[in-house]
Amino acid sequence: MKVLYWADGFWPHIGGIEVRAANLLGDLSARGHEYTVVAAHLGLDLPDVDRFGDIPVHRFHFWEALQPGKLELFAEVRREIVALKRSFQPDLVHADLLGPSLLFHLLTRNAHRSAFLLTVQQHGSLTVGGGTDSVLYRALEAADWVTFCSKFMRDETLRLVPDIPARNTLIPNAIKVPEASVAAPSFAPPRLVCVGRMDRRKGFDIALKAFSRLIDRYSGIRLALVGDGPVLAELKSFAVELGVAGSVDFAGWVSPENVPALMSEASVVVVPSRLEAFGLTALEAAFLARPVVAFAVGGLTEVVEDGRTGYLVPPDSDMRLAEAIARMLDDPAAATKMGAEARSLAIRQFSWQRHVDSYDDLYARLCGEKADVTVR
Amino acid sequence: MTFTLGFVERKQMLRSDSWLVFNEEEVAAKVMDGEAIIINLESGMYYSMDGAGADIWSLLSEGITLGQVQTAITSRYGVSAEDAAHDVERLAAQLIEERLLRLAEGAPKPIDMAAWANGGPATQPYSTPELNAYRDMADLLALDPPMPGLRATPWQGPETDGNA
Repeated sequence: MKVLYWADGFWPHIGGIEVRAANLLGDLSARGHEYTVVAAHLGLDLPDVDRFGDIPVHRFHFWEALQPGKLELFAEVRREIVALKRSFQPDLVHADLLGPSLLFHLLTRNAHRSAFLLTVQQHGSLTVGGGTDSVLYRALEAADWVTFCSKFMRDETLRLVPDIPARNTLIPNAIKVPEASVAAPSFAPPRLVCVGRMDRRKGFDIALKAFSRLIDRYSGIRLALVGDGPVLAELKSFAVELGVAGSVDFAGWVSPENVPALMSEASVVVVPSRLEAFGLTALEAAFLARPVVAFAVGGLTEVVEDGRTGYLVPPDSDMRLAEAIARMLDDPAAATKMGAEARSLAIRQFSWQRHVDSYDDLYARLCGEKADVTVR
Repeated sequence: MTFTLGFVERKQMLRSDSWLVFNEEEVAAKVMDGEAIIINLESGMYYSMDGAGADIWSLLSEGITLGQVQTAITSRYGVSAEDAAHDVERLAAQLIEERLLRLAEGAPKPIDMAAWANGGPATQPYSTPELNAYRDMADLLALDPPMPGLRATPWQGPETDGNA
């Protein structure tokens, strides 16, 4: 089956979603699906045409072309998309995003008719609204099928677009089980780890504040912040301001294959996100048998079972976050048990194999190889 | 024939001899492969129209009277004069309300309708023209901007060794 996979961020852009996408396309390619990727340049100086393994990657200047007044560039990008659709002739367009570049797909649907699968896993886009006169609504309306990465995302989307319930499936996000050996966490000295893009939504500033409440109580405690992003410098300054800089390790950008080793050094993985559509970091921690302390927001409430695999605390409270971390550190045996339970639950509920099978099956249904989905 | 715009502040009447002008100070537009793409540069809103809608846009933005546009659409699509009149007036009102076109005053400039008629009958059947608005574009672009300055990463992809 020929699939035009559309995602603004794709390798070598990095993040939980991008890593999942790279793995998914790799595994589905191995099952015989032929992919071409449509991605955005997103500020990196990368070739317009590239390859990810055997998969062609076409990058477009979507953001630049969508700036008001850039109509000539808009027309050029649109022409390129039309040409790509006509030359590749996909059976299916799988848009793994809910962002502005979808406008180019919506405006070129007649260039080559194909089934349209939309995967919703970025919450931010849902917050802008726009009613029925919006890219989001029109994309959801145009999709032959919609998949959601979490119940939270499905509920949020259906709240905005209530008339799509018959054409959607929940396919929870998943990750490949990290190959790093799984050992029990060490608590001597305690080490807290946060992983993610350094942007405000990830809440690492709250983690720093919580850490400042713990530093005098636990000898030798350290906090590792792993990742890069726009607020990295701000966070470093904030650590100095809080007087904890000497105990905080800013690891910077780390290649995805090296994240499990860093995460395995954690006594507790802290996920202080202000909002998460799913919570891939918490899931990766679970696969590594690390207990998690997270805010009870979005999809995190589906990945972390409060009191069983970690603790969920009210959002934005550094005090409650610190209290929950302290409960973990004060009872390493219980925390270790939580980590083991988290891994067991993750293997049962967020199987990578099932994730890949679900998309493989849905592709077949949407393209008529199985009969019970009607493409409009 | 008249059509009342839904303005609260002022009501404007459209007649068959009314003509509109392109709001070039605030709007950029282009017809691509039979689809009109219109951008309000002030608000960042995007609009699109295809089929008869794109034709109506092209004609109205050229400064042709509504009556002439109705005639052209009737001729090109074989649709009834009444339906064409209704659709053209409704769309014209909408385009004014969205500040994409403005109601002009005075006599319209002479237009060579024969040049447009030479395009022949439409290849697509007539469907009610619809102005598709995308009001969330500016917000979406502001929400998730590119990441200037972020260095290129050496990530080769998981488990690929150069092969996906």
